[in-house]
Amino acid sequence: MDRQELRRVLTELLEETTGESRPEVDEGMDLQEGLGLDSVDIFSLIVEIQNKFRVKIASEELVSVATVGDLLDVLQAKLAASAG
Amino acid sequence: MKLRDPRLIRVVAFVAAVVVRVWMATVRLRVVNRDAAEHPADADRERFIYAFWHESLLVPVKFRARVRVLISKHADGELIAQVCRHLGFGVVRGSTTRGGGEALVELWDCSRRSHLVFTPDGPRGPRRRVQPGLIILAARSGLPVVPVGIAFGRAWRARSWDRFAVPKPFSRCVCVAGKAIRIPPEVDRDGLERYRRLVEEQMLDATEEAERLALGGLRGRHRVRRVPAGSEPAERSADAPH
Repeated sequence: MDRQELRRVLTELLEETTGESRPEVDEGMDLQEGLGLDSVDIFSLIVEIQNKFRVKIASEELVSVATVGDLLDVLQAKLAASAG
Repeated sequence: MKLRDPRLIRVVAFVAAVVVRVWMATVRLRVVNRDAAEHPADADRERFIYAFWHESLLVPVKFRARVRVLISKHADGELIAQVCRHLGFGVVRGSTTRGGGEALVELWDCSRRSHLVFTPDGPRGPRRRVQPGLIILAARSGLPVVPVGIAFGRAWRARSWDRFAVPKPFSRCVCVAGKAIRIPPEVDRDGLERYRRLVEEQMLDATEEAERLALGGLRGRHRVRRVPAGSEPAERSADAPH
C-alpha cells in the first residue's frame, strides 16, 4: 500500500472515529491543534489502525507523533516490517 | 517552592516513599463488597478496572498492589512519579492536555494481562469528575469498571485541586467496591457521555457510603473483609494502571 493510499484509509478511520467529514487531511496537520483531536480521539484512532492493519503500535512509538505525516511514518514502518 | 533539581527530586522522592509506606502501615483497612464478586479479584480469572478518586491515591499501598498510575507530564509531576515508583507502582505519564492518547494506548496494552487501577479525575481534575478516558478504555479493553469509594475516619486534607487525603495514623480506611459496570465495545460519543455520568454517579455513591461507614462504623448488611496490614496478596494489576 503506497503512502497516498495509506493516507486515504487513515482519513476514513479518522472520519469513523470522530464522526466528522474530513475532506482535506494534509500530512503537515497537527493531530490535536490542526484536526482538533483529544486524547480519546487519538486513542480510538490508534485502536482502529491496529485492528485495520493488524499491527501493534506501542505507546513509546507515539511519543514523537504530532502530525498526520508522523503517524503515517510510523504506520508505514510497521507495515514494511510486518511485510518483511 | 518548586523542586527542579533532578538529584534533589530523587532524594526527596525516596524519603517520601519510605515515610508513606510506614505511615500507611498504621491505617486499618476495611473492604466492603456490594456485589457477589470479591475485590480485588483474581486477575487470572477475571480482570477489572478499579476506579477511585485521585485524592485517595495512597490507598493502593495497603494492598501491596502492583498498579500503574497516570501522572501528569508537566514538570511538577516528576516528584510524584518518582515517589510512586519507589512505592512499587508503575507510572504512565500523560494527561488530558499532554500525552493522554499515548497513556491510554499503554494502559490498553496492560489491560490484556492485568487489572487496571484508574483515578478518572486525575491527574489534574476537576475533583470527583470522571473524564471520558476511563470509559473509552473500558469499552475498548472489555474490562468492567468497578466504582470504588474510599474514605478515612480521620484525615488531613491538602490544599491541592483534589484535596488530597492523608489519613491520620491509626485511623480507619473504608473501601466500598460497587457493582461492576460493563461498557459496550462499540459505544458512540453519546453513549460515552451516558456511561461517564453513570460511573461518576456510582463512584460518588460508593464514596458517600464509605464516608458514612468510616465515620459511623461498619455494622449492617454488607460483607465486610478486614485486611491485615501486609497480608493482602499482590493484585495482578499492574504493571498496569490508572
